[in-house]
Amino acid sequence: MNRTRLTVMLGAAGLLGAAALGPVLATRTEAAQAAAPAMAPGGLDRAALLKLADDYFAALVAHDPSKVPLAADVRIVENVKRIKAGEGMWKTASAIPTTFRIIAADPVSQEVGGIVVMGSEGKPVQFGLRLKVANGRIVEAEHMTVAMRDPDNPSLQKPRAAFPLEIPYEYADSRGRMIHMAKSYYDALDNNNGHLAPFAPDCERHENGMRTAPNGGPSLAPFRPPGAAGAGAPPAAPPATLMGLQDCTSQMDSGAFQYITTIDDRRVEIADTVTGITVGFSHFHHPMTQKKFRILNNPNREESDMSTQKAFDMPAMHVCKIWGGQIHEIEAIGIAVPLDSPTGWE
Amino acid sequence: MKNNSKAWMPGFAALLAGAVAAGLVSTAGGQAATAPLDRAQLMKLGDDYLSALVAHDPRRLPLAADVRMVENAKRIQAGEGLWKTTTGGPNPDFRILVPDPVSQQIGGMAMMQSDGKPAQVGFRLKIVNGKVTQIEQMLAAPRDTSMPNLTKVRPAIPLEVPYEYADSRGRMIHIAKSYYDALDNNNGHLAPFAPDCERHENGMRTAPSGGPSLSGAAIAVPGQPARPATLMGLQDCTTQMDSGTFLYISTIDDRRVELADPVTGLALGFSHFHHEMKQKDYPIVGDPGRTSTTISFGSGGFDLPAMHIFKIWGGQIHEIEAMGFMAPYNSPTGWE
Repeated sequence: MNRTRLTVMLGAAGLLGAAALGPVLATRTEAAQAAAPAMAPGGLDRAALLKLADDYFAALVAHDPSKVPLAADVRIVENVKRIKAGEGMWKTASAIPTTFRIIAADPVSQEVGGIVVMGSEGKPVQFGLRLKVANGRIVEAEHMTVAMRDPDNPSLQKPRAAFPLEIPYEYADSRGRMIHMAKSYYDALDNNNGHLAPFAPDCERHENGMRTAPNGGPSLAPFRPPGAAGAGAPPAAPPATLMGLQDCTSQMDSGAFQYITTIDDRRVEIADTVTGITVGFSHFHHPMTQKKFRILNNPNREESDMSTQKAFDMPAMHVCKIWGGQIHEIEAIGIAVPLDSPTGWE
Repeated sequence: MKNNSKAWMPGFAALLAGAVAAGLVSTAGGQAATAPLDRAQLMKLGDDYLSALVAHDPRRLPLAADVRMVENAKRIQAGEGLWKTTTGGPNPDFRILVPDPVSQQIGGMAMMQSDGKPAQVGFRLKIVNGKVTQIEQMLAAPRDTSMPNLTKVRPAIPLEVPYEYADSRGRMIHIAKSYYDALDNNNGHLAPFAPDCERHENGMRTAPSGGPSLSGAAIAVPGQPARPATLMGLQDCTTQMDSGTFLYISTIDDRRVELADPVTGLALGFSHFHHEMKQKDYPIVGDPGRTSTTISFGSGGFDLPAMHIFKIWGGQIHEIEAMGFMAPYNSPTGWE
């Protein structure tokens, strides 16, 4: 994929570069704690759910499913394929998450999930997780693994600063509002209408570690930190454009994502009202029967040409930071799979 | 263009017509209940309060020994004011209750009768250890022409808000408080007004305002001449504030938004408007029909203690039901 394609293919540019991880070797294990979270009345409380996620990471790295309370009929899906305990990341996980961790717990839905960077076969990967608990036991575990093109990607060393912050009382949205706003993201994206979701002016989206919004404008001129290789060399700058940074709203309005045909299997079931973080899974379909799309309100281009793009699906996971009635950060991961793939939950 | 100052004053044209009443008697009593009151108990207390006004019997309420009562920004004793003058009500079709178990308060607005005449009554009761420690009540006499809007509450106001549209109590308090910032700073974007935002003040619709519906033959204020035709259509809550229509409000003090009911999305606030009125002419922006407005309420400044009920859902303010009454400039609030 060349740079032109990268700049044109907003939204999926970051995700398309990632392939599903294959199995490899474990190089390191961490001691895992026996996982038997205390039951709060009506289920696990927030702290117990957060601990369960930690225990789960440790169990993965220990390659020992017995270290977490799996239900007898637990269903595990990794990268839209059904697996058994002991397969997939149960075999390849090699290091627990350290600095990059975004985890949200939802005592109402009895789910915990998020995106971390952890080791698999000795290399860092982005790992998305969702655990569903019933009667104190894990009945569903959903994994998504994305290889990191650049292990040193500065965006994947630790979460953006706002992510872990708790939301002050008067800015904290209700769980219902959070679920609704996170779901509205898919409506806005699928309908190419940025006004269907309440994006904050500071909305910033990362996809597989690449910032895809705000996008464009002068900031896309190659940046090389002082001292880096090539620093000071004349940058191969993209042509100057009138348009500055395009925000989350106007980017969708422009039609940049018309190549997404439908977004199915939308599941936003986790909202953590303490941190304002939601976790949603979904499944994008791109038959790519249409190759050229009209772009609106961009003086630099009237068309998006995706002639070389082949059909694909993209199962994805979006973590949103929501406060004050708006979406401020989006951390997303996704994997490219064949068109019309099953979800793994059939 | 020559302006009719009253017709151009959507903010307070209606409120200025408000009147006051007062009277006397006294008592205290009631029963103890140390557990915090839940939503249903607070609602019942609100209804009991309105009934007690009609019965002129504050002893029907669990009053604390040191209960403080304020009516129209003046301290009263149990048995005074509405405790004496109420002659009927509430109109069951115009009764809005805003219970808040977190702050242990119940407030609302109801159409009552005082001295045999329609009276718009706003109130707020604070409970500590099951006893009523504060009663704040506000009385305004509506104009006859506003009565159609005061016979039945707007349909959306009593509706419960579906789960995914119901804001948290914290957000509701914040959004309701932002109304005063928007109004005081003449910046409609400081509050999240919904496109359908509609404000009534003492029963008069003051937003959306203007436009064709008020032009030509339409008469904005009874007794006033019709407004000339204008380019601008209905002006919504946001642009009305942006335009500078409310520049004549000097400051809004004593803002107290302590009640929010996430079930119905209703929040309730009291506040105290000051209008120094040293300036009479104010610039208006963004309105092709006028570049300035002249505000005159007779001589000198005035205050307007007010109560606002906000219907909030989906992060936005959809309805505002407000009332207020004129008081001398720089009046005390009654809570000093």
